[in-house]
Amino acid sequence: MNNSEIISLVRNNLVHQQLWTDVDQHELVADQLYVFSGLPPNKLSNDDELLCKEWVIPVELSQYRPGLLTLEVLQSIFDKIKCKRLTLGITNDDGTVVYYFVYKGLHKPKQN
Amino acid sequence: MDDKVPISLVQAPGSSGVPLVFSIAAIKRLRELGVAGILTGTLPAATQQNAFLGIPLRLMIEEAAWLVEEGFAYLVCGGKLLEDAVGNLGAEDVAMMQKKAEESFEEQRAFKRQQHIEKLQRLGITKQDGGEEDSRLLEASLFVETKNESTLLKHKEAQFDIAVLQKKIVDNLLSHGKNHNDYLMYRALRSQGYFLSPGARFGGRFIAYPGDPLRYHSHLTVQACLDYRHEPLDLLQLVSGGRLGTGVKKLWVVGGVKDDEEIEFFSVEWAGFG
Repeated sequence: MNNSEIISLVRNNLVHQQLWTDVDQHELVADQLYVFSGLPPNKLSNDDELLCKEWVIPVELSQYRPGLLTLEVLQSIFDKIKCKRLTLGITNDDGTVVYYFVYKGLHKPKQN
Repeated sequence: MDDKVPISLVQAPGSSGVPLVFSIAAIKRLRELGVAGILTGTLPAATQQNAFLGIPLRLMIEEAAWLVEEGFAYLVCGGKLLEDAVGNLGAEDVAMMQKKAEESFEEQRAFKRQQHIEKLQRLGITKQDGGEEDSRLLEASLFVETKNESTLLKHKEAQFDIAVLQKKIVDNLLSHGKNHNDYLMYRALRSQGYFLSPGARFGGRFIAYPGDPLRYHSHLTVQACLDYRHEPLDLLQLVSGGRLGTGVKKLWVVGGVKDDEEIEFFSVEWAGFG
C-alpha cells in the first residue's frame, strides 16, 4: 500500500474537494501504510458531539489484483491509532475517491 | 424448563437436509428463544400469496445447529423416522385409527341431524325423514380433519434425542454449509442478543435485528465470514454493500475468526461525502 499516487490523490481530494484542514500524513511503519489525519469542514455524523479529528486510510480499489486490506491489518491500525472510527479513502483508476467509515465491532446506524 | 423442540430434517437423497418446524407451540417457543425462522407454508388454494405464510417454519442450518448445541432442540431425520413408524404399523393400529375417525363422523352426524331438526321446527316444516337424499347430503358434509402433526410420529421423535446422534447430525448439517465459520459468527451475534434472519434480501449472509423482527428494523447486514489473516476485503463489495446499506439504514458488517475462535467484527457505512 506504499503507493505515492493514491496517497497524493486522496490528499488532494481531502484538501481541495472536501475542504479539510490540517491534513497531515503519518506512516504506520510496520504495515508500510500511510494515514492522514485532518479536520473536516463540519461534523461527519450527527452522532458526534463536536467536530473531531478524523483518520483517513488511502486504499486502492483494484479490480484485478487482490487487495492488501485484511481484517488483521484493520485491527492493527485501530490498535495503533486508538480512534473511534477510521475512514477508508477508496481510490479508483479514474480519479474517483469515495469515503467509508469503519467502526470496530458492531455499531448502530447513524442518525440522520 | 420447557420440553425440547423437535426439528424435522427433511432430506433429499445426498443432501444434508432442510430444518423445518411443524408445531405452533414449538414455533412460539423458538421465538421466545430469539429464533424467528421463516414461515414457508402456503395454502393449496392460494399458492401465489406470500404475505401471510403459515407452518412449517424453515430454519437456517446455523439456527438449527445453535438450538441443538444449546440444548433447546433436537433434530429428527424425517425419512428414517417415517420408515420406522410405517414399518412397524400393524393392523391393530390401523383399526384404531379407523375407529377414531368413525367416532368423529358419528359425532358430527348426530350434531348435524339435531341442527337440521331444529331448523325445520323454526321454519314450521313438519316433514319427517328426507330419506336417501338427506343422508347422502349428510355424508357429503362430514369434515375430515387434517392434523398439523402426525400422532403416529410424535411418540417416535423423542428417540432421536441422544447427544452422540445429535452431534453427528449437526456436524453433517454444518459440513454441507458453504462456510463453517458462518456458524461461529451466528453464535457470536446471538450471544450479543441479535435476532438473525437470512441476508439475501440485502446482499449479505445474515440480517441482524436488535430484537424481535416484528418490533425492530434490522441494523446490520452481515457478510459471510472472512479469513481474519489472509482474506483481503473486496473493496468493490464494500462500496456496493456500504452504499446499499446507507439507503436502507443498515451497517455493512464483516467479521473474521481469530485463532481462539473469537470473532472480530467491523462495521462499515458510507461517510456521507465523496
